[in-house]
Amino acid sequence: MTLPEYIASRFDMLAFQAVQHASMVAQCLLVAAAVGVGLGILVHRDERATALATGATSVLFTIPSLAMLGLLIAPLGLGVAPSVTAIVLYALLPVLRNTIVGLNGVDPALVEAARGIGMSRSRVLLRVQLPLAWPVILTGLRVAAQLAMGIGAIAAFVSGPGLGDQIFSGLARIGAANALNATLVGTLGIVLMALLFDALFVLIGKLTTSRGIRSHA
Amino acid sequence: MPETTTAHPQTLAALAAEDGGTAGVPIELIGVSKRFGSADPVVDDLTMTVPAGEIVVLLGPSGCGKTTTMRMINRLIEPTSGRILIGGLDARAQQPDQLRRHIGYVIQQAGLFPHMTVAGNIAQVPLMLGWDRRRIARRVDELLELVGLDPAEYRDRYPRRLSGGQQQRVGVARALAADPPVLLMDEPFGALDPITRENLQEELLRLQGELSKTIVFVTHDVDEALRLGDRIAILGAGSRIVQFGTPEEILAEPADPSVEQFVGGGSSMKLLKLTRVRDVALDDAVRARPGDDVADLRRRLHEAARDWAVVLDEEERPLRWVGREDLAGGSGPVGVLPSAAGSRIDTVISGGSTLQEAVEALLNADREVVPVVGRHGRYVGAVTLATVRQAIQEVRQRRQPARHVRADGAGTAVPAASGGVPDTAALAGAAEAGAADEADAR
Ligand SMILES: Nc1ncnc2c1ncn2[C@@H]1O[C@H](COP(=O)(O)OP(=O)(O)OP(=O)(O)O)[C@@H](O)[C@H]1O
Ligand SMILES: [Mg+2]
Repeated sequence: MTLPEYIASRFDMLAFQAVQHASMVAQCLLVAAAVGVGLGILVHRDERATALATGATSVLFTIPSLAMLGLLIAPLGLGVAPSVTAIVLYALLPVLRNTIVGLNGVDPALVEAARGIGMSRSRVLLRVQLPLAWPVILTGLRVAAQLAMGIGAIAAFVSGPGLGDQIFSGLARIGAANALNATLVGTLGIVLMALLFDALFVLIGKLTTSRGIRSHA
Repeated sequence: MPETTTAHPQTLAALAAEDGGTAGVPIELIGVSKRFGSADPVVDDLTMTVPAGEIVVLLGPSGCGKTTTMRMINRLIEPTSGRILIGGLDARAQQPDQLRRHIGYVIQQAGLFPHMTVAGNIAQVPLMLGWDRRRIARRVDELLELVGLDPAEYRDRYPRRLSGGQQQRVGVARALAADPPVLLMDEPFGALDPITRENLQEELLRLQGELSKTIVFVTHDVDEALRLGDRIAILGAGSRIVQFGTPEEILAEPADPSVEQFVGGGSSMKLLKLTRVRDVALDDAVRARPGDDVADLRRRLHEAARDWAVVLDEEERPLRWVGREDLAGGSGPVGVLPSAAGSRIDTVISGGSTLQEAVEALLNADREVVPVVGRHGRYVGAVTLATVRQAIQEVRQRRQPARHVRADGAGTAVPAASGGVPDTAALAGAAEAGAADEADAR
């Protein structure tokens, strides 16, 4: 069977796995964004808390993802739970780090000006600091999306959902019929989705970044 | 705003709402100190009153606590001890964010929010005060006009597409958004080139003429202080007041040699910058109309022992100078003298001009006299180098007796004489001299 024939012959299943993959990544990103940005907001003003938070996530980051998934089997079993946990943990670091960098990159004079005209702390955060840090945070999210995409593939190792299944099952029976096709479809599908996600983030960036602070134009 | 019309207003917000917000209110600092950690106090027992509707300039070396003092007024920094009253109301009794919405705050480099348009920046305080959209839009345009920016052109621009001077204008507009009675300006023009800086100083004075806010203005620049301040507080280490007085007082009677050196006290150039044309005795040229007879004018010049006359139009606006030599041999009405006769008047100055500007005009004019015009460009008198010299000498004489008193007192143990407090008799003398001058001018 050629690759197109392979895709045609089990299009429904492949499409399902692709959607599963994308939705898993998207949901994990949402969680990572909420936790990462929230944590970043909490710690960015305090040097020690910042060091602690980034240090902890960096340590997580050094654990190979396969090992992490394996370690998570013990407490969480197989399937969705360990996959999602691992993806969120890895996606956290770039989001957290960029949130901190972004918020600390806001000119203190602007924060002072905002306080000086009577904005409350939370209003300064929402109206001034976050919008100004947003391009940097968004970059963190983009990196996180790429990471999540790749780790999502490896999640098949713990029977996680998504296109990783194609890759792993292909690799497991290499030499057999369609083994190569399966591996190729999984890999290409994930690359394609990664590109789509990236394009989506570029679009979001365009739509949500003020013209006043966009780097071009 | 119907909130608190019955009782005395308890907050600056209520006070501002009550009298339409426009007029300035006094700021009183009473024994205010600020200490960061255990170090020496940055502000040490400062007591000072900023009178309503005046510009008080804080002038002093870097690190002496000017910014700290200013930030304590809007509670960006809390005093360690002491009280601050704004419009008679204790700042500490009010919610800080609410308080700040009614205290305009302008900082160096303007501090505009780069992700918001000009209109968005100006709208921030009105938004927090819950104004409706239309009122905000109207106010934004009104403020842009006020600070000399065309609303149609600038309201939708982002700050990065504005020059430094324009940004600072928007910064001032933002501070004025809710029509606060009080304005704090921390080196607002410090980062601008000299020409833009002078323009904005001039604009600020014009604005202040319309608005009469109470303004605390921090600067390092002595000229800026002399130009803008109704009063100047010269601060030393720990925000100790070295001298507090009008620019004239500080120039004429510096409290100690350091102040004298700092402000360049008494130097003629400083006095030139400080003295307005309307405050000096003007020269008056012989006035002529285009219809006057040449022979008659010649006679009048001779009688007045003058060399030239100013020709005025029907609206009393100066047209040109004619000298004796222009009139020699001519006949008929002055208006039909050959156009080459005399010189057209291109440069006029107004009562609000400083003597420095008058001297500049004199240097650029082709006569050694420049006409002064009042309302609607009407001729009111003329300035010559002699006028300027006379005026400067008078100011000098006013400070002369005061200096003697101080020199005498220096050796004695009377603190009033050697300290910053000028001798009362000397002050009275100076005041009398001033009054006499005014009478002369009229
Ligand atoms: N938050 C702070 N913590 C500790 N020290 C401070 C703080 N803010 C200011 N200082 C110190 O207080 C002193 C006065 O500072 P301030 O900013 O009021 O000076 P300034 O007169 O405005 O100086 P400049 O003319 O340079 O702006 C300085 O020595 C400064 O280091
Ligand atoms: Mg300062």
